[in-house]
Amino acid sequence: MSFHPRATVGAVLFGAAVLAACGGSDGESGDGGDLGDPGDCTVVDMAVSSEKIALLTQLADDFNASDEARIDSGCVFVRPYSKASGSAAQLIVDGWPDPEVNGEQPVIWSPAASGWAAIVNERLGRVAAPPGTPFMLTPLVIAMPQPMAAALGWPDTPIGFADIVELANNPEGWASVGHPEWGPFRLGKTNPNYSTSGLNFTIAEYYAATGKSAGLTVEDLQRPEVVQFATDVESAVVHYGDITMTFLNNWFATDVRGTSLTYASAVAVEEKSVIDYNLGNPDGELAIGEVPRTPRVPLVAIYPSEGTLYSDNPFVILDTEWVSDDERAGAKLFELYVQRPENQEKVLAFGFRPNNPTVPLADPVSAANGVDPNQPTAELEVPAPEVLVRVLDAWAEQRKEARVLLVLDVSGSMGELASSGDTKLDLAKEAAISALDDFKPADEVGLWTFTTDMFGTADPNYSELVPVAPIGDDEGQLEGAIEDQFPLNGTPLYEVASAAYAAMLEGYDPEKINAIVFLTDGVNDDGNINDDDDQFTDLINQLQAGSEGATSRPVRVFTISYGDDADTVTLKAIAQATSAAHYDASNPATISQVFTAVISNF
Amino acid sequence: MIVVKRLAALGAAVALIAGALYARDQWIEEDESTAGTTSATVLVCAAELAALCSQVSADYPELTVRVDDVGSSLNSIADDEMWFTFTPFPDIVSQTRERTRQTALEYAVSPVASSNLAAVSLTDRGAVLAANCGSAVEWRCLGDLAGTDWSTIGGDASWGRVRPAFSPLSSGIGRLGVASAVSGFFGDAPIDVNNPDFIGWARRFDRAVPASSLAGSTAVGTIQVRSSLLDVAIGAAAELTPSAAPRFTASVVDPPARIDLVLAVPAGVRAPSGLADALAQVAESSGWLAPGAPGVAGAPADANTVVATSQVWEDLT
Repeated sequence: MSFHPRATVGAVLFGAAVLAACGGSDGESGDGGDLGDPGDCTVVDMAVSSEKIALLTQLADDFNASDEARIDSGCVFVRPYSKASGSAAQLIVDGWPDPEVNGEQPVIWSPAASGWAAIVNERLGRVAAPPGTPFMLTPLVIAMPQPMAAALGWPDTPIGFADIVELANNPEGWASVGHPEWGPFRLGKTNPNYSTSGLNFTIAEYYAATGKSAGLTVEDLQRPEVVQFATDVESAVVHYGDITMTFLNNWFATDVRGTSLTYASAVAVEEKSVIDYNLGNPDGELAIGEVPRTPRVPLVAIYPSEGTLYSDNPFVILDTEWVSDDERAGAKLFELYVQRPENQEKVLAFGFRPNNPTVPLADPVSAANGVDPNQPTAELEVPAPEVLVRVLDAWAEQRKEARVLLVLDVSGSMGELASSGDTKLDLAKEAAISALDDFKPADEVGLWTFTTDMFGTADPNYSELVPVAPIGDDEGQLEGAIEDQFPLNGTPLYEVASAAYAAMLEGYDPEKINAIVFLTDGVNDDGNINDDDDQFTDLINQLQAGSEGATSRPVRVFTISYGDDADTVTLKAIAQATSAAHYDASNPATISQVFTAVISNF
Repeated sequence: MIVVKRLAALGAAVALIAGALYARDQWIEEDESTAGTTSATVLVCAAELAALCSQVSADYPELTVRVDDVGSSLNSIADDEMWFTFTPFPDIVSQTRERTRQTALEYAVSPVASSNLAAVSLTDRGAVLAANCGSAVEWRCLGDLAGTDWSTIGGDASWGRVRPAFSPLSSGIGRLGVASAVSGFFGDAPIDVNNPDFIGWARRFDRAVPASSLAGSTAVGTIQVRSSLLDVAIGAAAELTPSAAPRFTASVVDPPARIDLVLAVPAGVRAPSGLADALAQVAESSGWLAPGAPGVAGAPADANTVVATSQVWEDLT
């Protein structure tokens, strides 16, 4: 007996369309590993949220080799790749352009939560993303270092969003509960336009503001006290970003140095991430040779007393013009395959809760890993689609403002051709100008460019083209300044990173996210290699000293490795020293996508 | 020599008789019993029963199994497709075909397994529910409680509101649950869709847990993996898995209702030998009871009731 979905699958010949390796931000987008040549099989491309790419790659590999993928007229070949839920939602609305950069047009879309499908349908005005069968579950929790949770009464005292918000708004911060050494309450929260955890926390934030647990309305979002409440919560945010792994990796890195309690006090993540962190694998994926390390300070999952929202990981088989009946039928086969008990057992190993009730909840979803299998006991209702869309709009107005310095490399190597006659600098300029639209008018943005011998042989090797100032006042000046750039000389990376950091620290504004976006395509090249090691050490020490401790004034340096020759090791170290994030744009064609991901931090 | 000839004649006679018997077994009897039939090639499996179909699929390589929502199958099942579903959906298809196409589609229906229709809840909530609505849950009472704070009826404040839920109407179990509920609301009286009490009662169910929340799963399936979403799941008691059972109570409903699994084979189609038995075996190993087993009460809903109540529910919610 062959097991078939709604219709017989015919053999559709697809060439070996190579999955675009999207580069993107670390974890934002990429393939799921080499699954081999699909041959003449019907190819079912699948865009999945980043936290489950390892699991789905394994399941797809097993499926492709199984009899379940054999059909009367050939075979089905499932090919998952990672795509942040919010990014995929926007791409579907846009008709999924440019597959070389964005990944092949998916047949199956598995965002982290069904709410994204509702947003897509609402924005399109039609059902392109029909309800999908949940694949596995994980609730939104508030991850806190165990000592901090204990200071709030965990595990005996229920803790809710309201308690978190109250502490976040208390000017005394942790001193109000007897721990001045932990400084202010710092909240980690991803950008709700890209991340499910960010979206769900934002929904919960508005529910907490209204005292409701269901029936959130557009009118609720407009009430002055709700706007003020949300603005106050957002003011405690460290920075945003497109993926929660940035926070978890930074927490883990600071844990090594014993400073994790002053990086972030609480981060909105999925329960599965707490398990991964405590098992010594903060981003949920072990690189080759990476050995799990138990953190010094474990995290615990707080299940908000008001209720929470679930990531239900639906399999959405898209109803779009690029999906054929054969592909849809092939997708249905894979959907049935992953629901089988033996495959649902595999989701446990990745820290998720199975959706199949015949598979009991078991380790690692256990107290030993900081989570409670008997929680949550209450849920918040997912708002209606039109309210979800309005939540995103409201957040864009109420999010914490940013103060950002863009530092662009205009060294000679930026003049190398990237693609279709464009130089790397051409593409970077275009991407940077486009990304300016993602700031809100009150955000302060400035621009430096750097290369050696900018002003003859005299220092400095950088030029302040636009001082940091509200972008709403004159976005055109920034655009013009970026547009005017052309490639020049060497790459004084260390010197300029240090100078930019010092300048931003001098003008530090505690009410804003203070950050630098540092793009370079090369290695430090200031004409003197003898002092490079000292320069690098001094720079990292300078960045760490300013970024850690209860009274620190964090200026986050988000770095972008641009092209194949960028010094990625150094740029990662710079980002880590400031508990920011490094982004990989080794494929210059992805620079626009990467800029979008970087700006999602603000 | 004569002896040899007689032995040879005897051997030939035995061979002829054996050949005749073989021919009768292989061809003649089969032709008599299956005259005008074709072998089934497709088994349509109700989505809630996909796991059962999956378990028997390897033993029937000649069959293609297609998993489909009952709601879709009602409109799309082909004349030569077998159907593993619930009573009375084959009857509904037969009646619909007769009415719309003036062509009969008769099924030979084999009972496979049964279960009580039940209200499944966490044990602590089940006790409070029983105290308010009876150990056999009264439908009118359950609907009246939908959306009420548990704390006002003897439950814990942390449980929030009472959230009963049916499976989606696209599913067979969803339609059977709704049929039982609406019938239970009206009792012996005829269904009156304009009755304001009924309208409010029905809408309280939907407001408590919007049907869209359960997309892709049944209510009983959902409560076992995500008990924070709903408090009372209406469905087959057999859906409760052994590993989850200790945490939950499955209360029968009042009046009692039965859910029957059936293998429906269209007239003119021959089912593979032993298929119904194989399905019965895996169903029983999954918690379903044998047809007629003690412990299963009530009767399955009839076709007219299911059609009418599904339509009413769809209009109201």
